[in-house]
Amino acid sequence: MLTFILLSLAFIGGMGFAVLSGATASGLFLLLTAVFFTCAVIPFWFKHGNSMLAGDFKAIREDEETIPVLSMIFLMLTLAMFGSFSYVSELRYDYRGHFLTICEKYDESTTWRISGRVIEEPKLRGDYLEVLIQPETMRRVERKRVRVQNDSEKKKSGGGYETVAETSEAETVTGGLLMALVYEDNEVFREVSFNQTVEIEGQLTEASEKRNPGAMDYRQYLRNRGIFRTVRIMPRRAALKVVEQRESGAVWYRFALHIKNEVLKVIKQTMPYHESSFLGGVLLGLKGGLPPKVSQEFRMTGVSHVLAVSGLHVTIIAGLFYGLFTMFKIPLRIFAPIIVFSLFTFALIVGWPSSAVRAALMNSLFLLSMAYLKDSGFKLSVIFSLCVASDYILFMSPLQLTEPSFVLSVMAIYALAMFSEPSGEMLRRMLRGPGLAFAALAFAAFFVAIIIDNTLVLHPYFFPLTFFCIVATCYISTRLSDRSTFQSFAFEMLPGWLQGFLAAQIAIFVAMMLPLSAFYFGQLSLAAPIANLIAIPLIGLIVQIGLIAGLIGAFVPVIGIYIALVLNAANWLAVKFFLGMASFFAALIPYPRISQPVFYELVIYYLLLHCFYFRREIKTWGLALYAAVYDVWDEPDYRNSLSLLAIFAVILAVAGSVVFFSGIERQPDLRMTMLDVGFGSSLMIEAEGKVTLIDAALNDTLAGVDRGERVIQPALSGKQVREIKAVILSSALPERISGLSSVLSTYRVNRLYVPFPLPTNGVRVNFEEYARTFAFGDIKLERRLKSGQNAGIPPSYFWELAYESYNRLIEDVHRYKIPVQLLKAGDKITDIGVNIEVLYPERNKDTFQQYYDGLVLKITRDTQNYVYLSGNAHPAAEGVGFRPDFIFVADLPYPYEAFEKFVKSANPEGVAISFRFPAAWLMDGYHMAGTISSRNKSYGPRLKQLNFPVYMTSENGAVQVDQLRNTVNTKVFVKD
Amino acid sequence: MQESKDATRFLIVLLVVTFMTGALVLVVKSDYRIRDNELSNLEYYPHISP
Repeated sequence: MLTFILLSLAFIGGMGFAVLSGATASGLFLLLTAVFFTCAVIPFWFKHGNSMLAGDFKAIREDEETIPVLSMIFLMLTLAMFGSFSYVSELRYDYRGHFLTICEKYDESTTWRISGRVIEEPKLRGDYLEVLIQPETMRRVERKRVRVQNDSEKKKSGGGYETVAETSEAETVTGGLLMALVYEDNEVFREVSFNQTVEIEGQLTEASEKRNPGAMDYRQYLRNRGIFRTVRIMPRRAALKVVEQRESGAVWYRFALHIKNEVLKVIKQTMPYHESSFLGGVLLGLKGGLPPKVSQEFRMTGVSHVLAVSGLHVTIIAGLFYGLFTMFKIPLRIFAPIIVFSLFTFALIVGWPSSAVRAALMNSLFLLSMAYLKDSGFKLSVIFSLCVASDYILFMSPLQLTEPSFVLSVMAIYALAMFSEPSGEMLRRMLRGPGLAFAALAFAAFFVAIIIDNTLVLHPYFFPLTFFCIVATCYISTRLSDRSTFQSFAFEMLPGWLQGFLAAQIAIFVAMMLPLSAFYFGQLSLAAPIANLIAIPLIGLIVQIGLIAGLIGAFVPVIGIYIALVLNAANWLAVKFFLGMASFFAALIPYPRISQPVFYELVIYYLLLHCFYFRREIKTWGLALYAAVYDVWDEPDYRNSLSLLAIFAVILAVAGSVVFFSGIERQPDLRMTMLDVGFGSSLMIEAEGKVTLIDAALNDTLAGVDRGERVIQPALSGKQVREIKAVILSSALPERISGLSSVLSTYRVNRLYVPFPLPTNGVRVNFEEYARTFAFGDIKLERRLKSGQNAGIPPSYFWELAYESYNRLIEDVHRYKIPVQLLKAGDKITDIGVNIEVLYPERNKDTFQQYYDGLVLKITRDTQNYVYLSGNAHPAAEGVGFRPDFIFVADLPYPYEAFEKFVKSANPEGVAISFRFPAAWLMDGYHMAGTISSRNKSYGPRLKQLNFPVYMTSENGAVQVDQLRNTVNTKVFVKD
Repeated sequence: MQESKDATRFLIVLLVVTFMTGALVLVVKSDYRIRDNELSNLEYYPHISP
């Protein structure tokens, strides 16, 4: 068993090496696999060759050292190289006939006609279905207008034109998948299903790559699933046609889908929406349809794992079937294979996610070993079965190694297996008498404090102080317990299952949730330890009742649906309670951002955790090793060998350190990142460990897209930022201020600088007052106000958003007690690592003209100067009095002539413009819509004529400008 | 053996309590009926209907 575990670790380690090194030489890894395997065979043959030739395999098996140490080392190297080879070869998609290779031969505007097969049941996501297609053949389609002469009627009218589609020769596709997004307004939405042959005609899209620091690389995520292009099936854009339904093949999968659909029908009949969407999610893995608010509350309370159909569900179902079969006195040897079949069917039903597959495999191994190997004294270890499951998943799909779902699932079991028992021991020693009282008091005080004052979590030292408090509490409680003779009221008095459950929760939290939530998501749910104490037992109940009701309702004729109705009526109460519990904790306990650690920090955390938990074992092993080395050193024959080994170890350590430290990016003196926030702007400035933000992007409430939350927060998380020194808002336009609210809810801001009037009393202004303060250049509204009429209501969604954003800013500034400073020309900000000087607007007026009074800033660090332009180029065209090295523009600059005059005289190293054409609903009824549209069309070619690089966030993603030793380097996140 | 007895007892108790609670919900909540549930779920996975 230990041999298998070591070989598994080598296999996974080899894959990890391929990921970290970025190696692409699959041939070399294959060659090394063969070489190391040969090396492993030689010592084995040397030792057991005679027995093998004599056919005496029993002697080999009974040998104390069946596999010699040297063979074992080479076998581990073999597996490591094979792991690297598997991972690297899976990444290869540059061969002839691969879907991507064919697509890349032609530009993105090519229209394709693709014939292929739907390889899994379509998944509902919001208002569209995600359909995964294996393309079989593809042709290019060219549409031409041709003159038609033959038709008699057209002859009369002098001929006519019609569109003719010409297709190229079909190319056979041998690898890669296509994902079609079928929207609800298509007829095919209700037709498309698994195992159909379909034909798609339309333009293909490549998924977006990482466009901002800290953002998700969606392209890589899809490639890890084997998907290389997507297509949106929408009227007049692309069409999908079902050609035929194949009835053959994939019998098991079709059986699983049949059960899934039947159980879903029962859920829809026996539970009202939106409780039904929760039951569908936890029982069948149907994530579509759950209200976004509920998903957000689940994330905030750390219980969203229940929707991921994790291993917990599989174990619950295994337990249910075990109980049912035991109840009917059926022997384990008979029902074990039935449960195994059911578990894998369940994994198929929920979409074969790595977490469910892992759990199905592990539970099956346990059941089968209990049923058939128990008599022979075989006892399965959790780590062994975890290795089997991981090896299987990674062998079948090596790219899963970097997927959070796989890592979280494996690490959760690893945490349970390794840290539950020591956590239990720690709790038993710590929680007794006065120790228990002290720990309970400290625990309660912590939660009461953050419930009373939610803003405590925004304190820059909240997490370090919390960590210190936890360590201190553990230490003091243990001391108090040790010294006390008081034996009542102890953790040990709890029932065994409850002790185990609490210890498991601690283990999961410290060894999985805390480090991996921070690493992957940059957030930590403080409510999770409490909420999961209720959620985990409750979800067991909900899944079991839901499954029994679903199966009875689906397969018991006539009365089945009524029995299911009664069962799910009771289950409805449990679901209601679960949703209410999540909502309650989400409202009560804050959900703070945490700095995202880099990979090596994560490794160090796990090393320290192991050292702490297994300090006694490590000490014993260390002493034993020391004694062994000491003994060997006494033997003169071995002294030279040992010295050589020590020198080799030192060289290895030094070389490793050099490689490690040379890989760390040197921090520049100044880094400015113009984030790709779509329509709007945000510039992040980092210098001397301080972060400043100029503008904070758009929160489009109608679309439910908050760029402050989706772009700025992840960018800050990856920077190990504890607070934002200053936020400067260049104008009160909604695309610059509305995203700030979510940033303020997760980061402390020391000071806010604005060029427009901003009350700090927290009292909202009415629209009349707002319209009289801010001029948007809306002639109709201005004429109305001048004639003495009232402003009425916001005339468009854009105006409404602007008005609401401003009021939200007033409320937030008051709530978080942020000092506000009004800016005007000549003002300087100097305590943020750079010097910022305000060049425009010159004076502070009562009325703030949004488009023309926006800030123009000079940013200086050492000898380098930069300009941040709000959009209005007039003030810059009049001369700024210095030569900027780089220019940042928050919008398409206007008028273009003034901008051109300015940049040509400045001749900077580059210009970064933050702009993307806004969504249609944002421009609906907005008086500037036409102007923005014409600028968008005409600027592109004119900007290309400038003789220095001009970067647009819509094309280049985030633009990062680094100043290092007075040289300026530019990096764009999306390369051409 | 004791474990399997406990498991059996737990399952029986669970089912009995569930049936009683479910019946109570159906008595108290007059709009908790199959037809009402179907209507409220019209937009939930609309391509799969009972």
